[in-house]
Amino acid sequence: MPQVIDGDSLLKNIKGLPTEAFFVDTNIVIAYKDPFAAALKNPSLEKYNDKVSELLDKLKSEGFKAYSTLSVVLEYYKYIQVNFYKVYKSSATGKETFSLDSEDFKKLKTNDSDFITKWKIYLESFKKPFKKNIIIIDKTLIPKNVLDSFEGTKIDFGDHLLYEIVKTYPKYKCIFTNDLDFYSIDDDDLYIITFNKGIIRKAKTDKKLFNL
Amino acid sequence: MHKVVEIVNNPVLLASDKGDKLYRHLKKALGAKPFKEITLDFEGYKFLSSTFLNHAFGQLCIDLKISEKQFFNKIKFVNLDEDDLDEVTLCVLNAQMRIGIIKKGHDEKKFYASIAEY
Repeated sequence: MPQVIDGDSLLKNIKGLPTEAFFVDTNIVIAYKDPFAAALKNPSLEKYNDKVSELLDKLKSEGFKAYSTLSVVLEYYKYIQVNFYKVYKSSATGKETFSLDSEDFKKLKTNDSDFITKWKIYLESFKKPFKKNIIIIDKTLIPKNVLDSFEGTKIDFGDHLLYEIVKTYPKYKCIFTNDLDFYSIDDDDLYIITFNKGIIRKAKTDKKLFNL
Repeated sequence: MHKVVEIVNNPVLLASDKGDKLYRHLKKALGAKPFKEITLDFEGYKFLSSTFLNHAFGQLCIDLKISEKQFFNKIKFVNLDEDDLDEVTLCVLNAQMRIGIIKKGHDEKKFYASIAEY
């Protein structure tokens, strides 16, 4: 079971991170960028996003590198694509849209100049965190091994791919996430940075809360 | 010239209350429609967050019903990093979409809760 680092404690003792660098999960990129301003008028979400941004920026300014993987980039792209479509359609039509219609998306991105102009702005925004703040480091994994080691009940495939990369960097074996699933990984050397109270509670009970 | 760092009394432009401070200043400076033209000087700022931008500019667009074109016609930006100016553009665009969501009578809270889910 991984060791859990309470994000609030780490904010107070930023130099206490036991690894040289850390990996960033998709939910953290979303909280960091809030690409659709979903937290506006949602004080609790805003507070959470602000803490994530503060921690990420402070760790970086202390010299800890923030890394991520192409699997996270792909998940973040899907988040941007699906939600841009939802927001665009719902703001332009009287019908609330809660899912992506791929065929309609293709049509809009080919024929609708207003859609194309706005989509380009979101595309640039999608690329930005990985160009500026979070470095993508991927290693070539052996597909057969990745598939064989994926048992599919504890974590989803995107998280599995992230963990498979993290494993290859022992000095950076740390994931900044809000996802409880990572806590189920059978790995005592893995660290999880989180603000998720559920994970922190469990770690306390299991005596897996890292003492900063 | 309106100096942002002086208005919010801080070079770190991260917290929502700093954004609210700039919002109140801008609302007063712009006046009533068709709004005055103003220049915002970001000289000396250190960090900029989307929370700050959403509170300062996003909320302003929503409350005063300012279009993207009007916004950039009326407010000029100097000494702002190019990447951060892109963030302002995104923030204004997000505000326009939110105005659309509200105008169409959708449940804003429920809709944006669905966006926040991951």
